[in-house]
Amino acid sequence: MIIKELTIENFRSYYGVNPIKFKDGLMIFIGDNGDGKTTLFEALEWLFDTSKQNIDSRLISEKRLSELPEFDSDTVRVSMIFDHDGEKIVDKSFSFTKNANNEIETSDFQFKGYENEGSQRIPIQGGRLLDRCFEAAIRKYCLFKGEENLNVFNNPDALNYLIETFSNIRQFDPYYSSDEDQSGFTDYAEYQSRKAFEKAMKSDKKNSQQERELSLKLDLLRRDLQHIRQRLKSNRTNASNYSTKLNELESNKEASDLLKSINERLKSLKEKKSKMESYIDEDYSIKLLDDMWILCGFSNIFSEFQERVSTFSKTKRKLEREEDKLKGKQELATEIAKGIIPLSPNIPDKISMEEMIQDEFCKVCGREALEGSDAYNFMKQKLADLINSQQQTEKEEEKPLFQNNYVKELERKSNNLEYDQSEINNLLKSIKDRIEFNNARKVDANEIQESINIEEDNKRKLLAQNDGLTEEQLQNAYENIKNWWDYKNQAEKEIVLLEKEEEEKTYELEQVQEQYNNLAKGSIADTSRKIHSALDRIKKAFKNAKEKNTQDFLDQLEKRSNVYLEKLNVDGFYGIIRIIKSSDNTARIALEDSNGRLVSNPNQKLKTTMYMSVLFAVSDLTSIKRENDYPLIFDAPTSSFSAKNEIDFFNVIAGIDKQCIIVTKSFLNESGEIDNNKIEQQNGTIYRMEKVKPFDEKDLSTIETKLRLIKG
Amino acid sequence: MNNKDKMLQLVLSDENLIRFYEYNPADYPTIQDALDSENPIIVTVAKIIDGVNGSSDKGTFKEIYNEIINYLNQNIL
Repeated sequence: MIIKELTIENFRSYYGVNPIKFKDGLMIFIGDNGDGKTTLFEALEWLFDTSKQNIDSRLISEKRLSELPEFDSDTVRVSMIFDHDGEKIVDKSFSFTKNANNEIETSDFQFKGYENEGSQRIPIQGGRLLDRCFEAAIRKYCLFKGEENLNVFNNPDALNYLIETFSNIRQFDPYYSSDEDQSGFTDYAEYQSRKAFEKAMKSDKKNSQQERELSLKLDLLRRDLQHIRQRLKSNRTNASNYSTKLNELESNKEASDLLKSINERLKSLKEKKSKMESYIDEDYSIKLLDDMWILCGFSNIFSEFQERVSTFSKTKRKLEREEDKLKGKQELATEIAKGIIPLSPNIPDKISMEEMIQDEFCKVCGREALEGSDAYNFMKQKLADLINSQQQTEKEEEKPLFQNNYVKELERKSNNLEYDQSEINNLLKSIKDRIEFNNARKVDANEIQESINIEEDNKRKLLAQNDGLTEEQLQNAYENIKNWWDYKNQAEKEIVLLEKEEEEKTYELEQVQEQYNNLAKGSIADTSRKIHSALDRIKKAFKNAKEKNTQDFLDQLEKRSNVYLEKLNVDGFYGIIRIIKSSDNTARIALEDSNGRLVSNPNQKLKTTMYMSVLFAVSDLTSIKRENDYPLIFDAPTSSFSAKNEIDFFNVIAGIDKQCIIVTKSFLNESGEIDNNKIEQQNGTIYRMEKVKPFDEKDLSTIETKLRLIKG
Repeated sequence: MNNKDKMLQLVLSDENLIRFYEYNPADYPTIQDALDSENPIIVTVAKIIDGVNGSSDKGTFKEIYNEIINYLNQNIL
């Protein structure tokens, strides 16, 4: 089956009718996030689903819905023209109507198909046509979403499914089953014929004693063997489970290490950011008053205030001086009125006065002043006046000129706030510096936040690439490693011992069975013996055939996978793919080097090419089985690849003779534009899908995907 | 060659079966060739493949078992 044309109409972001021409070989659809890549993939998934009638209104284009008038109808449709033994068409659609209150009703699901017979176009039910040309078993191995889903053997039933669908011989299970419940015919026939043989032997009286003894031995041996096999099975399952867990752990080791380093970087970045933010001091309102930043805005008012205070102060001092002058003048006038201006009472001083009185001699005028004389009495009076003058006298309370200290307070305030213009300028500079410093720290913090976002994004991608493991699971995986190793080793040791025991018991059983058979020779039970022996050998032949068929399939798959692995890895180490079957009938893909050593932890690119090689090989086997080719459709299969690796990888795929459809966001530069240099280097057909501009990022009804052919 | 013929070829190519019952698998390319064989083991294998026909039904098993037991009773040497 080769897709020739796909038409998507009103399907999610695909507004209106969008026909897309397909070609054989590689087809690349390039789009950024939200450009409709996955929607294209989902449109194909919806078309290919033949199991149900899905007419979910969420499939309808929001843009078409928003512009649809009330009570009007339109159609969602995906149709495909393809080549499969002649041109065929499948067309799936449903109608939608906008009722009152803008309610949407969906109806009229149709799945039509057409095939050409000569010049006639014959209608056929679409699902039936698709199941015939692109059966579910094949579809299962043709559509892959994301890099993490490429490993087909992630599904434990995959091996059985692939063998049943694509191996050389199908349906072996009804003929032989290794289960104890005899679900295969040859198991059943061998058991029934053995019972019939034993019954015949028991009815032969001639050898009854020997028959009883051998029969008892056989029963015991069979029971022992059954027990050994059960233990063997259980140990094999345990060993396989622990081995799988350890392998997963090994393959997650790189991821776990990466996660650890991402988390360490995140921790350090968050600490840096927090430190940076701690430097930011934006308590500007506090600084307005505490650090007097407010003055910057009031510099003129402050000058005016200072001027006024100065004026008040000058006026006050002037008034006080005038008041003092006035008082002084009044006192002087009184003294002058008395005739003489007296000396100050403290001339001469108290000590001199007392000395003169004691000496009865006036040392001012140089005359004797005997006690009782006028001169003596004058000195005594003078001393009394002096002493009196030095005593505090209750003066008549004078009313001060300025009763309150308002001017003084104003002066004090003015002095306290005595910032001159240079200080204000300094203040402005310090405010500017502070704001600049804060802004610079914010820029630093934002830069760190960007790094944090990148790391968080890396972490999300890493977790997405690890089979849905949670961060906790990835971190804690190592805690159980020792126990798992112990359990695995223990189980493997047990297996070796049990296999030896099984071999010995089987040999013993065969010996006793031979004795038992020999006993039957020539007896009435001889025919039953022959029949049982024949059916036992036929059962073993079916068992071997089934195993050989499985092994042939795996060998074939391995061989073809390795051809693709070599093609897909143009340079660097790629190793050899091994598909290893476990005892529980599951399989896993492993990589070995040429010395048979297991490559325990291939890088993501090698892992992806390894899984894709197996897919290409499955596709080859499909083509051989069905004698037809089928497309492989991948949604973002190379998200872990570097840009160069992607181009190399896509070019290799372009060289493979297979229709391979890849939707990807590769070939876009950081601003979301097509990188034309890369496009030039790329072979194949290339479409660009993008949202029609302008659009509202928050309004889904403005989103419309358009495709344009840019190469091919 | 259909699925049954391929299965027949693979089962008949079992070395033990060839050694015990002495036949050449190449002589029996189809189920019909095997059913027409003189060798009762070849015929039994063909009857199993043809009769079971991919079914896991126990009733079918019983029926086929009875058929091949009757056949072998009469033909095995």
